[in-house]
Amino acid sequence: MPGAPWAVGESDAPFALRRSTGWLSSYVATWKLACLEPAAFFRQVKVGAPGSAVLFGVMAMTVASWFQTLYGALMGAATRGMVQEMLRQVPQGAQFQDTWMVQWMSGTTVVGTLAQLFAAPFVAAIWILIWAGIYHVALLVLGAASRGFDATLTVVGYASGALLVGAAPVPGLANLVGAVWFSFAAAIGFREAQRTTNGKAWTALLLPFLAVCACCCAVAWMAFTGLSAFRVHGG
Amino acid sequence: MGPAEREARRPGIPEAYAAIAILSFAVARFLPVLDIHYQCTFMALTGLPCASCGMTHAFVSLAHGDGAGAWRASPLGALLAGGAWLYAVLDLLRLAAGRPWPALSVGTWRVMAIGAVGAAAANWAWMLWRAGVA
Repeated sequence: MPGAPWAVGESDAPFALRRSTGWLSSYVATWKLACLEPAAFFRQVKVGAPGSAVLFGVMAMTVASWFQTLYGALMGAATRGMVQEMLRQVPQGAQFQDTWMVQWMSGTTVVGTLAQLFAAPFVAAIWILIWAGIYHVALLVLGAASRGFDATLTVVGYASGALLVGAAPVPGLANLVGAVWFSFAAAIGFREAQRTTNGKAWTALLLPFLAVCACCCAVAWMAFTGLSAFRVHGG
Repeated sequence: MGPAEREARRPGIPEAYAAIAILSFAVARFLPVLDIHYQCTFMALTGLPCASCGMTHAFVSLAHGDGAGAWRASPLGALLAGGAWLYAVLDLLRLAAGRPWPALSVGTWRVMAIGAVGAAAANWAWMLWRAGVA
């Protein structure tokens, strides 16, 4: 289609052109492309300037985190009412009303909530940068990082848009759905942006977790053989 | 100032990593992170150290100038902390001088990545050996 941004060659993501097209509309357009059409998007997106991708991911994770904090505060308030009601029925429980203990048991304080809201964008930025580094090491080890770190960071940034699902009012499950969605978007993104195979892309995505599982298996094996030796020597 | 130097002086992704490294030093040096008694899940389940056990102690020890203590806590943690903080200093100097980072080939990066994974594995093997597994 003439004039379509994804017609030919490498193109800027709509979000990279946000100053001219508007923040909200460019964000929505990029989110649709990265999360609903990741193969075409990551195949053609420019990877030279990953700053926009990081900002995109930070915004998605921050909004999700703010909503999760809000739900946590509301649920904490409900828990607080329950705790206070319990204390009313316990002998001498009234002395604990409105103390730090009730706040702690209900899992929320005003300072804690404000701190979470303030820290959310910084935590999101650190999360994206650290995980991009870990995934890139995995891609390098597999020989699947032909287009460099910028491509990996671009994929992690834009794929993090899927974590916006965490803003849905289903605490726990929404984050799980967001994580699975992110995994699919990121794996497809690695395959397309690094011009590698499906197997290497998925292996790179899962390698950090596979390494942990392999380590657990190795320790279990060592523990098992150690116990066997103990039985032989002991019995 | 030429365009290349102007580009080299503009903060970007390398400076974001440098900021994380500086933040890690500030947290390790000035916040009482060791007072937070967190039980490692792997350690709780198996009684053995996980691959990253001792990292916090290593960062805190090195931030307080105790290199030997950092090495005892976790050799990889000590190297990681030292490397991260050295990187931050070098990046700030590079930024001030307006010089780019040296460009490394994908092959060189790959060798470094394999070395990093090998170092992590060796560190964990040593931690397990020290805990008396082998």
